[in-house]
Amino acid sequence: MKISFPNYRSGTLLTRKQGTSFIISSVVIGLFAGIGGSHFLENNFALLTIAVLGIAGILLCLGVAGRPLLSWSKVERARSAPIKKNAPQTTSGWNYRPRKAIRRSAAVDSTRAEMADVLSPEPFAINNNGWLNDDALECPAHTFINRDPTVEDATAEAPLLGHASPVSVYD
Amino acid sequence: MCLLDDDPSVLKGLSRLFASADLHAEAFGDPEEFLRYVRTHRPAVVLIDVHMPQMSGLEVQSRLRKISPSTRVIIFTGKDDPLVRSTALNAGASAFFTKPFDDEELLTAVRLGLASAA
Repeated sequence: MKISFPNYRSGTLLTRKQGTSFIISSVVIGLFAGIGGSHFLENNFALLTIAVLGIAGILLCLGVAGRPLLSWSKVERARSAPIKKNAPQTTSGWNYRPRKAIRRSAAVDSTRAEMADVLSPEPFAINNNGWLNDDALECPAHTFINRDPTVEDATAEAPLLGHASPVSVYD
Repeated sequence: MCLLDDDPSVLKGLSRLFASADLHAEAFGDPEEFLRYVRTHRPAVVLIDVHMPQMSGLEVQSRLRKISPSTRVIIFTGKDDPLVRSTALNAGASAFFTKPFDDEELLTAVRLGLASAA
């Protein structure tokens, strides 16, 4: 089973924080400028209009300055898209690979195996964990003949005395 | 071809394996249902798991032999018991596998079974 975890980057979080602070600061600047301006000018309409226009200009400049910031956040979003593909994934599969040591050691250690061998010496072609009954198939089959005796010899010495009856996780 | 195992994940895995080799297999989780199917369809090859709660795979093999003697039987199990193995093979099983087994080897055994049954 393979589990992979996503790599979250702090850049996305920072961009969001910057955007929020930009909006808040704009509102605060506008509010103070309006209050301060109206108080300072004492209902002088012409100058008040100029002040409002000035504030609007400042805000516009800030907006222009903030545009690259917004586009940067878009880039960050695009970057984070493939990261979602790396969300935790569980992949399971059935491993058909033979566990060579278990069968052979069981045949060696089990007294029942000895009994069975005495009762019926196997005339069957043997592979690592497959036995083919040539009589039943009525045709020669070499597929299950073990082509790698060195592996079998090595595994026969595996100390698995505690596993008289090996159990597969699949059954 | 038929599959009999009480474990749905094994049935699913084997069905996919055979589908990838262009072999169609009917999957069964219940031995009685499997035997009912065999009575009418007489499959060429069957794969039977040994350890099932309802009925032993060896018993299924024995009953199957009476119902359809020409059907090739491949036995597979997760517990390697030499006595079970020799019993199954002496009772006429074409092949005996212990899990986890090599998929190519299983496919070869199935193909040999299909060829000899034809």
